[in-house]
Amino acid sequence: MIRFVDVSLAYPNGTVALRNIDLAIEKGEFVFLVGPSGMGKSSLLKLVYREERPSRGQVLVAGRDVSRLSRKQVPALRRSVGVIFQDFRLLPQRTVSENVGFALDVIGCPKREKHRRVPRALDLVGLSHKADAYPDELSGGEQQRVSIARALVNNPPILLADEPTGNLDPETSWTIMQLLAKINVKGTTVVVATHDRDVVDRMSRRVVTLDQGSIKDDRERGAYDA
Amino acid sequence: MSLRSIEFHFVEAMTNIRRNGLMSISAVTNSAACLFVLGAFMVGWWNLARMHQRVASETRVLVFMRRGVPVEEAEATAQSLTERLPGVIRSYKIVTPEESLSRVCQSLGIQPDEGLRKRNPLPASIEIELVRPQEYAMVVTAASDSQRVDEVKAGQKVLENLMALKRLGIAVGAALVFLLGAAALLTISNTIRLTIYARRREIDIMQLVGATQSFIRAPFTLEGMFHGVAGAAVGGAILIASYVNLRLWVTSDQSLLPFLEGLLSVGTVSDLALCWGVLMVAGAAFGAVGSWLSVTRYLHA
Repeated sequence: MIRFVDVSLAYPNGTVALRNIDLAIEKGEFVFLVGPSGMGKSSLLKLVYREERPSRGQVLVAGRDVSRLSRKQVPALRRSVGVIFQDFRLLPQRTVSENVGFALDVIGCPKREKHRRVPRALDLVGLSHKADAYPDELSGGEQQRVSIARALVNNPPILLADEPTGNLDPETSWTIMQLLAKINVKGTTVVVATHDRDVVDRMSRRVVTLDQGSIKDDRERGAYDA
Repeated sequence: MSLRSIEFHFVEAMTNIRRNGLMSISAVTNSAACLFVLGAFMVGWWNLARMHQRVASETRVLVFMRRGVPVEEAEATAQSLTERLPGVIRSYKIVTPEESLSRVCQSLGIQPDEGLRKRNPLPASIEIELVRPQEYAMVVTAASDSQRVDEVKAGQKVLENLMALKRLGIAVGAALVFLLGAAALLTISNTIRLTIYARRREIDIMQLVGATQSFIRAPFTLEGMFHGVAGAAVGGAILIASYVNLRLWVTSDQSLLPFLEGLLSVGTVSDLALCWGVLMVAGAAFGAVGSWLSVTRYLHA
């Protein structure tokens, strides 16, 4: 599903974020990218949804080298990759259902289809009863669930999560991880960049450890310090 | 673009305008000022062009034959000129010495007596009307070649001055259109930049979930067009009101009337509607281009 072939990434200021990454993530996998801050986890995710281009190597998503996509082809890629962030990135002046529906509005989804999909996405994340609430009326965990619903409402085969529990307490973090696991069971490939040790250890999934921009370790059913 | 998308863009643009009310008013006011000056120049230039057209259409080349040259030879000269300069001469008229004399006497308010008729000092002449008045020089040169011709006159001085004025008008106009257009465009562009800054989170999310760049640009472009069109509507209305009042003042003052009325020949309802329409189109274009530039700059940053 996702392959990195000898990928390196250096930013214009000279910082080398990734070095010679070779990594394959299969369809339907659940993978943790772990490591301290600044070790390249977010950069690796950014390459998948083409926020960044590698300085060297290939990033293949569903067999296609996304680093070679033209500016016009990027939106099509992004419709097949859902992304969630630590800071949720919700629109404060829109309600929960409007935030989720916004992702469909901007890709020209017909109204009838939108009215069918939004409640389904909210049901999946357990927020049907908060559809008319505004983000500032929700807890952190609920806001993250709205952002997951927004990322999934377009049924992307890949979900990327960049520190999804960074702003949440341990109990809420565990709930969010359970939700991501449930989404993964339905067939979505999930990649989570995190430094939340407890969550990684409890989930017991594949763990890829990054250190100084390189892959230090890659284990099935691993743990944070394995 | 689907109806659904058009509805979305329209609602987004209107919401933006409402949310950023003060910025929108500022953009509309500035565009109105720029488009007012642009429109004032346009009306001035249009008046000048009309005057030039009128003077040009009244400009004739007068060919005076030598004294004693018979009317038949004047006719032959005119025929020869028409054949030598195909497509230049629209028509000609032979003026006999008798006709010239009666015109002169009429203009002096006297009656020609029999003696004056017999000793008529005036020669036969040819009045030539041109297809394009600016080509008078060709006719003057060709006619002067003839041995039978004494003198050739054209209203060239007035025409040349008007043409020079028109050329100057075009140069100044082009510079003004550029400067004032750029001012309107930059004003709208800056307003849209502020709107973009206020909505950058929304734009980032749009990009993240796969909105195309043209989709992201559309509501901002609509907003910029609205600023431009509203500015043109206001600026155009003030311009037309001022111009109509100026014309009324001119026509009410009898001493100024003959001179100024000719200068302000643009004035029918259709003239003014056309002027307003041109300003609206210009406003929409400046608004669209200005906002398009701002969004593109943000998206490519």
